[in-house]
Amino acid sequence: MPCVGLGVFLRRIVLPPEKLSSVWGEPHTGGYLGKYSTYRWHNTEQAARLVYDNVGTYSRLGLREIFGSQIMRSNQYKGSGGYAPFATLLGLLTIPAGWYALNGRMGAWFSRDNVWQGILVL
Amino acid sequence: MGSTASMVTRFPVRLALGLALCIALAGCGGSGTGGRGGGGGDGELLDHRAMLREYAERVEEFPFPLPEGYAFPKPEALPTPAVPTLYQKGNGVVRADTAWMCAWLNEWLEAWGAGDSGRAQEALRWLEKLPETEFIASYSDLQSFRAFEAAVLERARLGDPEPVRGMLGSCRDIIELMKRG
Repeated sequence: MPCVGLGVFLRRIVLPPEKLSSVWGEPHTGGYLGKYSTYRWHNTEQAARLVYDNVGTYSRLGLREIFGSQIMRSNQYKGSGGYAPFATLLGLLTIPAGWYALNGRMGAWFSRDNVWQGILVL
Repeated sequence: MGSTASMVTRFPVRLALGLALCIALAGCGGSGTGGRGGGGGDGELLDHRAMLREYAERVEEFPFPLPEGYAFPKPEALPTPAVPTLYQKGNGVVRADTAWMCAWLNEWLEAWGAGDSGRAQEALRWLEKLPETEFIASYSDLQSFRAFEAAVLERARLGDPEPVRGMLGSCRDIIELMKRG
């Protein structure tokens, strides 16, 4: 069933429901890199990430392959977050097919909001 | 201080739009995953040593065999991260399960290259059991497995090695460790 009218953030991207996952996290407030455990399969197309609620400082999120180091540039989200496409280290927006999980960290901040939440388009 | 990943249980007002969006997506055919979602926290974060313990426990009682000539690497043989890293619970389990998947994908490719259809078919039969692993059952989902099956396994069944080759790019290091034993 097609999804329409999901809000301003998603208006400009294609929304096949099977490509969307709601994602969230509470990174370590000390700023450590966190490796999340959940994987999704991605066919060779553009991958994108939307953060619509952000941590109190900034968050940096990137995709990693199984056993691979992170092969995508991290996206940094400030303020309330936003939409940003993932790109390879070479700057290409076409992400190779594979299993991907998220790496994430936040700017260290020991007393405030460390929750981020969003929709992963993969 | 140093709070760790856990399920998001608080919903401040500025999450209202996000929550509404999630509900809308969930009503559109299973897009919202709930539970662990695609990325986020449930439970404590593990340091590297604790992640390796998780891996070792999974390997110890792994439910399926590896191809001949492969062995799970000892935990201490796995690479250490270059920067201080914390792991969401399950990372060690997923490492063991995906190492197993990598081994059978490589076995398929080698058997295909050698023209050994019996060995190749056996490799595919084991790979079809992926939904029974914790990797798919707890840390991914059947929808992702079906997409992987269509993109990689189905093509292998038809005799096309390219998707398996592509997939093995991220398995190269672990396969080398597994063949060393």
